[in-house]
Amino acid sequence: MDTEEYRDHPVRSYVLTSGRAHPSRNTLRPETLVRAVESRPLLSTAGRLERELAQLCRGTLALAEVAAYLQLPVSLVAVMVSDLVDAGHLTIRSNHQSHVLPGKDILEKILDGLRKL
Amino acid sequence: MCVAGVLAYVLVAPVLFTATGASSLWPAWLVGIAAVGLAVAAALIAARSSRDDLAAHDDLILAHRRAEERAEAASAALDALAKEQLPAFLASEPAPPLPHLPGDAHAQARLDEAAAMLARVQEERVARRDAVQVAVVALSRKVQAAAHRIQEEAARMVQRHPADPDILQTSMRVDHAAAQQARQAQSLAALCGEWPGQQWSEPLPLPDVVKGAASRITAFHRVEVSGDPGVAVSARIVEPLIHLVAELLSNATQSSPPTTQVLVALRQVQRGAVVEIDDCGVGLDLKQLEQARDIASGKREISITELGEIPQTGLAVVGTYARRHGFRVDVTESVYGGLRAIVMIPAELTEAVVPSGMLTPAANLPSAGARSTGVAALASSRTATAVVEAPLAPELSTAKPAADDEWPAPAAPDAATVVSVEPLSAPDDVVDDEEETPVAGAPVTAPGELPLRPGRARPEGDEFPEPGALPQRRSRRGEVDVPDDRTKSQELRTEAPRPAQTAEEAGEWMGAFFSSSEARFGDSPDSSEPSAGAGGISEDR
Repeated sequence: MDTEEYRDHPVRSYVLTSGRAHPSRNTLRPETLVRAVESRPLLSTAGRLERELAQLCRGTLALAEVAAYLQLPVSLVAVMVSDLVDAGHLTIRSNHQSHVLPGKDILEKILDGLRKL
Repeated sequence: MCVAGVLAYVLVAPVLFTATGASSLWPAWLVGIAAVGLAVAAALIAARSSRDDLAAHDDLILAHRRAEERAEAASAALDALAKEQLPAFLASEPAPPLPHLPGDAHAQARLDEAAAMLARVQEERVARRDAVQVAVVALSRKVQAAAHRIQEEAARMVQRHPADPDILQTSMRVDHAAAQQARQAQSLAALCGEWPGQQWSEPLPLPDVVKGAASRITAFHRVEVSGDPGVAVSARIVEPLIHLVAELLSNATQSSPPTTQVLVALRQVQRGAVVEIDDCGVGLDLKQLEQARDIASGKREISITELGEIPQTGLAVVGTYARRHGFRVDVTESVYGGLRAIVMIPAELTEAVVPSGMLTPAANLPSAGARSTGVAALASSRTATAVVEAPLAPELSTAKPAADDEWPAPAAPDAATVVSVEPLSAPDDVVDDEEETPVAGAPVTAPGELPLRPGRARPEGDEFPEPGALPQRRSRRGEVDVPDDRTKSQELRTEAPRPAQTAEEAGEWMGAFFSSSEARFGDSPDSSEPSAGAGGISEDR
């Protein structure tokens, strides 16, 4: 992973979250599904990144996916998503079932798939 | 002369009278004659000597005049030396020629010596200053490079632990400290008349320029940006402008109470774009304000040697960039009581971009198209492609509609069509070519899209030429349906986003996500992309 090319950007992560690294809610996991609330679009004063984030989440997306598309660390996106959820622009899809263990057959299929990588 | 005659008479007469008084042989008239004769003689002598005196006196006067003239010339030369030459030498300006001293070879020689000496001193001084500047620039470059290396390491640390907020926190602090260090080093280089060490290859929207500038100051959280005029600044002035704004922000935050905000307003004007920075401090008195204005606007140049004991680099750096790039900078009183710094970026250094307030409608079009593709492709197991494209499109149109003609049009259909051709090696080459062409043709375009972490084009460009990557991907597609779908989505995600680590994470987590949410999606079908993917899987099962 370290061989991966590092790309700099003028806007640093701490400016995006006002220096906060911990999300305002601790229920956000990388697999947490988030979705934009269509009745609460972002104000025109919102930043580009927030806008883009909300845009991404018009379809339900996992937090990790959002982070991947934005090319930002999951932990950073978690803070931003958390803020947007607090502001009512995003909702978290209830993932109460995430605690239910998946079936053995599915796990095996996943394992198969992973081995084929 | 008369005085001498009378004197002679007075002196001689008593002698004669006393000498002749007894006998009276000497008649009185003889005495008179003698006296007169004496007097005449004395007068004659006196007259001659006075004539000599006069001549000598005239000589003296002449000599005196000449001496005076020489002295005047010498003093004028000295004045010129002290009042014109020396200041000119000090200011490293070409000195006016020294006045000539006619008729005084000695002084002239000395003067020439002095002039030659001064010239030599000046040469040495310039040489030494150049040497110092070269050294300072070299050292500041090293410091800057080291700071960027620290930033890179901090970023990698987060890449390795993408979901750990504590690591992110540490990384942020390290990054922030290093960013300030890099700015200081860059200020030194800028004051030595060097280009900034950092360069960006893409235009940057104005709000991001200010955010980037805020990244480099201590109190970044006090900076409040308002307005998005939909202007980006050209790639080559991104770094100078960020640095300039950073120095102004730094001044603004330092000269106002720590509880107040520094307000940054962005707007577009006929002749370019304007950044206004207001602080809520106490401002400056008129004289200081005048000085600040002269320095910041670039009217008065301040070199690194004039900074003094407590170096005030900020405005000097601002002035340097203003001079070099044609920014117009002014400092006035702010209506909030502090100072207002105004930066005007000439129109030729700006580019149009969709203002962030307009993003949603503009982004709707491409993503809607991609969305429908995604829906259509649902059954044909190409969902993942659509998923990738859907987010891509808004991103691209987000930051850079100007690039529309360059990027999205060619690239998106290419990706879609080529991917839809099933696993083949020949189309792979086509993919390579077609993907590369827009990428190479517009290296600036694609990376510019992302407000964050630019360089989307390059990762793709880097990835595609890799011999192993694509064929593997294709060949695996036909084998097993279910894992394949997942594989593909994973790969495509790896392909699009830059941090491979994050994408892999995403892939891993998606496995858990599918298994845990599959039941839920089974009963309540969802049309969104990931659930569409999940739907595809459940279908396959």
